[in-house]
Amino acid sequence: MPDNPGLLGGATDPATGAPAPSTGVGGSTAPVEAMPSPESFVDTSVAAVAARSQGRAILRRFLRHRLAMASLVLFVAILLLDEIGSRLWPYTYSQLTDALNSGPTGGHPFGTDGVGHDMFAQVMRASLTSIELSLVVAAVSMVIGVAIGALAGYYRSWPEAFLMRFTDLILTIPILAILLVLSRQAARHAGSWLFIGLIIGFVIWTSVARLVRGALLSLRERDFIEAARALGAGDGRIILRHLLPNAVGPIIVNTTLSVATAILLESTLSFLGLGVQPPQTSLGLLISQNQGAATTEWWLFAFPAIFLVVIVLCVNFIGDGLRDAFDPRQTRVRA
Amino acid sequence: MDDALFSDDAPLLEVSDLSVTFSSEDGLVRAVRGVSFTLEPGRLLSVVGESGSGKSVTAMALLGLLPRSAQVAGSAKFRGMELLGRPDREMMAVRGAEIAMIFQDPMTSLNPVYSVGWQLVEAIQAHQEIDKDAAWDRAVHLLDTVGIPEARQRAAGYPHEFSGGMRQRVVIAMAMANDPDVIIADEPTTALDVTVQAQVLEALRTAQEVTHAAIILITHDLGVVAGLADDVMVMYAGKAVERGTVEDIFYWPRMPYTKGLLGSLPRLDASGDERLRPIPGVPPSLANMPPGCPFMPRCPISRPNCAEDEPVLRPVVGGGHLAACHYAEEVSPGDELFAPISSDAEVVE
Ligand SMILES: Nc1ncnc2c1ncn2[C@@H]1O[C@H](COP(=O)(O)OP(=O)(O)O)[C@@H](O)[C@H]1O
Ligand SMILES: [Mg+2]
Repeated sequence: MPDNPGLLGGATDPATGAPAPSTGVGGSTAPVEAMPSPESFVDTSVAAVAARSQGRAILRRFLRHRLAMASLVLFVAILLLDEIGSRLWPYTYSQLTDALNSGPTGGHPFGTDGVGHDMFAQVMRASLTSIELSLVVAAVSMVIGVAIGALAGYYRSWPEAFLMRFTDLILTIPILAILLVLSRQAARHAGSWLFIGLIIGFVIWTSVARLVRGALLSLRERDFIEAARALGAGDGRIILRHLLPNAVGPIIVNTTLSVATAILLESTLSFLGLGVQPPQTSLGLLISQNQGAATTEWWLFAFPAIFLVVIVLCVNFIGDGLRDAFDPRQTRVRA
Repeated sequence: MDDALFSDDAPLLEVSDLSVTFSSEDGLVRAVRGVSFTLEPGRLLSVVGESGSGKSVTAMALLGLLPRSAQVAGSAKFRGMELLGRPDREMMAVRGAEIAMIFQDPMTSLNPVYSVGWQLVEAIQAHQEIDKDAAWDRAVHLLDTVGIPEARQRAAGYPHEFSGGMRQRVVIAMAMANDPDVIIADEPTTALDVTVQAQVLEALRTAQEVTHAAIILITHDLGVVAGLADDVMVMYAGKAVERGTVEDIFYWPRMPYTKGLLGSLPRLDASGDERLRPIPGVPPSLANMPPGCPFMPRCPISRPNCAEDEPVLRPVVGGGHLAACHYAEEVSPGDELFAPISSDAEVVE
């Protein structure tokens, strides 16, 4: 059941193709782990095994994932550039400069548009908005998705029925149609990126929910759940302390994917004029505003597009690294 | 837990006429059919029988862990308090704190994403108001008690870093965590290498000494029982077919089935030409059981009336020794009822 909310065409990322293991600790497909790094030899000493706490072990495995680390560094750099760089930059994103339709120059490294907006300032501002929006989407879809998915996977009955009917709804009515109706309402009332983010989040949580439900359906049959119950653990404890932590891998991966999906969905909405509205700006809005200039004033289109692709890829690679880091069997040490 | 529910002079655990029925496509599966026993404080009762005889279902029924599809009848009183049919919320307070359980496969009964110390802390904090550091110290102490070397360091390790025997010790430590009065161990050594079985049983015995718990040791291997158990209950097709002290059972089994189980054990005192004497045939299907003694088709001393009346568990030769066989008095220690495995072509029927 590929349940990827990015139903809007081929713009989805490579990681989407690989479904997350439903047990959360299952097979991992880390591309980067081919060679044992020096640390993995240190691991085999009893002292090293004993000394590390779980959090440290996860962190260490993540740090060793080179592609994910590089992506994280790049992602943070972009965030810092957006947050701090935009304050130091001589132009704001809405300011009109004297240079019209200028290509990349020393003063305007990303050029300017026909009314004199500095594209560097605009791209910084737009990528910040896109990232913030996608984090809102991730937070909303994760909270709703984990809650409903956990109830559905553990108790079945009505949460499962609700999840299934809602998923049917999302699958039969195209996600875009729902977003169009909702975001038109939102645009009328507020039209802010926060609203767009909440709306996208309220629509794409089913993906996380179905994943969590699937993971819990198989995890709840595992012996260690029975054992926990036999030692007096109640439903809440079993769900929160035993089941969900075993599903953290898929949850993280899926949430990360929803960050990427959200950025792409927002772009699509912007293309239809229903995304973030000016004077606010977003990468999707910039790209759609400037798509006509792709061949003539290429810088207007290319820089936002490059930022969009780089951010989406970074987020996906980070998700990949996190999934591997949460898998405690990555470094196997036998007693 | 309401202490008023407990009664001081009631037996520790008194099970009477426990029966469990599952509905399946083949009709009703009567997994447990009227099992009764009493467990005294500090004793070790071994429940023995071939696979499928209802041992695990009996244990799960006591803790209220059977799926909802199971119909449970009879009575199981812990210190006078009825366990069967008690709401799950109240059973939670019993599980782990009063009656703890150890499962068969230590490879799967620990949570893979937590350190073993964390899991012990979790088990402790499920029943005790105790801060995390104190709980961790107690966890380390428990690991030490069950024989985990360098317990303080190993507590931070994850289950996959432990061998099977070491994991089962961790599971035993978890069962001890809240000083239960009863520990049920369901085939605790079946999944382990023969070489570590004795060590794990030793850890179980240590757990008993430390907690003064009574133990129900479920096994299909009478060999495990000999040096360990005080009392033995033999189960067959969902019923207790023989019950007595370990001496009763080993020196003079009264039920042909028990004799068969003993005959299929390798014996150290056997002279050279003594061979294993396994029980021929397989246990009956528990769905749609025919009337009569369920062991009859495999029984060497059966007579026509065995096909009609199912024998009840009744005292033989006084004392506490009970057997469910019409002809229990005819079974004598010397006779060999079952044919030995033949080493050459002349297969005995
Ligand atoms: N959940 C269930 N649904 C239906 N039948 C069951 C269930 N659990 C156990 N049984 C049946 O009950 C019988 C006794 O099982 P069990 O107590 O596990 O045997 P054992 O003595 O090997 O532990 C078996 O025939 C088994 O098929
Ligand atoms: Mg069993």
